[in-house]
Amino acid sequence: MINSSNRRPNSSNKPIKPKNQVVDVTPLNSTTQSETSSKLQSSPTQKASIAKSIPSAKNLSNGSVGAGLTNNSSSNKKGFESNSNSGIALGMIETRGLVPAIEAADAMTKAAEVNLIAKELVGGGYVTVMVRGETGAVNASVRAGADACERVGDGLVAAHIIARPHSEVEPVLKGSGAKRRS
Amino acid sequence: MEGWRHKNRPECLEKRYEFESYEKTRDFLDALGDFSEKVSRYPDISFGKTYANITIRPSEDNEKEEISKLDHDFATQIDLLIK
Repeated sequence: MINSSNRRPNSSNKPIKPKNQVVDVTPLNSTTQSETSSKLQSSPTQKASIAKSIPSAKNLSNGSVGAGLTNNSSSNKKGFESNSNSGIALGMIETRGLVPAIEAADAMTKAAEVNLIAKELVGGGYVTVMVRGETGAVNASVRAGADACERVGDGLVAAHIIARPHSEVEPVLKGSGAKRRS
Repeated sequence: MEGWRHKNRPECLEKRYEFESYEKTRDFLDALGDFSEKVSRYPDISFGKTYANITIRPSEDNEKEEISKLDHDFATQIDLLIK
């Protein structure tokens, strides 16, 4: 009786606590307030959770800080989209052909901390890739992406950076999912 | 501030820069990127191999959302990057 009653709360608490720690620790690490508290509770499990939280922190840092506090760390894109109208830049590169588009996307995501949000087959062989993130990061990533795809065939058609896209544009930025267009 | 056009809807300053090659375009964009980071202000940029269109929108601090002297100064400083 005692064991079973003890197990359930323990087992139910265990999965919850690390999740909370992942969400809580990530933003707190960025601030100077809770350095001591995180150090006091340092354990192997926490280190793992902190290590796992780094990619989410990377993504969340592209968006507004509030996104990480209110949303689950597993759903980065949802959290990103919900706050994407507040100071998150949009970068787009249109290429002639899929290969330079992939090359551009690869270079963009490697060059700076941005999220690749869509690859759109425009038609006639044109492909557009879009990234979002902090304005400076998007600026750097689009330059890198254009540089990369310019070297691949006749790749670069156009590139565009919008520092502050309007919230009305948000629905358009989702990929249509088209596999091929003539 | 030669070549900048003031548009009213939406309120912005625009200029198109033409270059001889992609390398020169890239050099300008790199300089613009560095400058933007330095002053913490980012214009909208549209570019291809041999051109770059720069659009300056009113700064976020500007409550009237109109082009101000600060925006004109920013445009002038962008012009200086190419010389």
